[in-house]
Formats: sequence, structure tokens, C-alpha cells
Amino acid sequence: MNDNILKIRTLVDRFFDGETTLSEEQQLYEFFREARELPEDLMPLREMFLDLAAVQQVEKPLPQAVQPVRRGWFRWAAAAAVALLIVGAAVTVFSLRAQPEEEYVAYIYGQRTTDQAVVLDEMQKTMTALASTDGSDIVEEQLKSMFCN
Amino acid sequence: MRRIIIFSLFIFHLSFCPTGALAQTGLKINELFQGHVIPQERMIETRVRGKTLEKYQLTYYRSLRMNVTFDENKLLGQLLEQDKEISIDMRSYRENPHSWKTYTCKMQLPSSNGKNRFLCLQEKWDVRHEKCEVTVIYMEGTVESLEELEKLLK
Repeated sequence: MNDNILKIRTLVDRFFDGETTLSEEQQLYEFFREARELPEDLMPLREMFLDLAAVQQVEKPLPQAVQPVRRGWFRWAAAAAVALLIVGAAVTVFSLRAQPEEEYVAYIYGQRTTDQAVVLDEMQKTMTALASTDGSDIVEEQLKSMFCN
Repeated sequence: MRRIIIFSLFIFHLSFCPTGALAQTGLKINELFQGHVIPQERMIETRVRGKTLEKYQLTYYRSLRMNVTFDENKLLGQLLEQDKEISIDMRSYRENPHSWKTYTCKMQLPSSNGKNRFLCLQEKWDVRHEKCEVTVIYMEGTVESLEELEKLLK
């Protein structure tokens, strides 16, 4: 599995460098279509590759006899669909980002929880660990332990 | 045409990512947050965004807490050193009380998207049992400086 993920990461890098062959691109599409769980860094790419696979299907050449009649129509339809998708999604994303969202998530040794109390408790633990450490406090504590006993 | 579509879709899907997932972009410690250094099954990760953080003048809080081996800790140290180089303010403390050794490093990073960014790391070595617990915190918000943040956290 890990070898496969490593291979996919390499293919993704090569894809964005424009170095992948058609069969390698097919491998990527197939991987993202079939993968049930993905590492976090590959998650954002999933929808993109699924869309690309869909676009590629639309762009596949039609049989020779039919091609001259329908090709132009399909191209325009695909381009319009993609343009609409991008504009619509961009509007949604920007309107969502304008509002601060609430998020309370913790992964405790791989187990996801959205229980606000658990998340805030863990946040307080980590915050306290850092807030309590300060050079001046150490000196003060050491002096207290030496002279106040 | 195809390249334009690919590029547009890539940009679109990047913009769809939760901003938290990309918050640490450009930092070496991001490797740790992405689970590339230590598997996520071995750590406790916390992500908080929203009103709870307002009193700290923060908008985003992400922490990791885990036990690490000597080699893993060495690797974390290397990542941290690289991030220190871009920090605009940094302070670190060492403590050696009894059987514990503690190293704490806090830094303010260059602001991004109008938000001030902070990265803190604490290593706590249990000398007797040769164990090390590491806590890493990434924060974003309007709080102006490390000094102000420390005051708010106390």
C-alpha cells in the first residue's frame, strides 16, 4: 500500500511537470477513482483527478463516421460545463471563506472526534504546557524552592 | 485547451481545501503536520477554529502531541531549525529539573494573508525512562507579538 502511495506521489509530481504518459495518467485516474482512503496530502487532488477523468472521457474521439457531425458541439459543451463549474464553485468558496467557520476536531491516535469538550480539553493541555514555561519563571521557582523551604 | 482546464481545476480544488490544511504551507514543520515524519496513529492532533479562540486573539489553533524516539526528535529539530531561519522573533528556554529535561521554542513567523503566525515546540525528556514527549503548536490570528501571546495564554 505504502509503495503504491509513493508511486502515486511520484506520478502526481510528474503529472504536474507534464511528464506523464497517457497510460500513467490513466493509472492516476483509476487510483483516485477506486481509493477509499487517501493520505491527507492527496485528498485535495482527488476531485481534480476525478474531474479530469470525466473531461477526458468527454474529449475521447468519437468513431470516424460520427466525429465530423458532433465533435464541435461536444467541445463547446465540455468547455461551458467546466467554466460554469469553476465560476459556481469559486463564488461558493469565496462566500464561505468570508465567514469565520467553527472547527473542533481532534485525532486521538488516529481516532477522529468532534466532541467540543474533548477537543478543548486537549487544546488546554497543549496550551498550558507552553504557557507555563518561561525563563523568568524558572529562576523564580528555583529561588522559591531554595529560600522558601 | 486541456492545459488550461487542468490548471483551472487544480486552482479550484486548492481553493476548496479547508484553509487549515494549508495553513502551515511554506514551513518545514508542515512535514510533521502532514504525517510524513510520524504516523498520525501515534499522535494526538487538535484543530480549533472559531469563537473559543477570540480571547487569545487567535483564529486558528492546531497542535500535535506525541512520544518520539531519539532519531525522530533529531529530525524534528532539523525541521525546526530551518523554520527558525525565517522567523521574525524567536525565544527558547531550557529547564533541567530533577529527572526531566525540557526545551521550549516559540517563534513568530512572517504573517500570511494578513494573519500573524506562531509556531511553538516543546520537548520534554524523561531522562530516567529515556522517553521524549513533543508538543508542537501552530497558531494564526491578530495577536501582534510573541510577548502579547504569552500574556494572553497565561
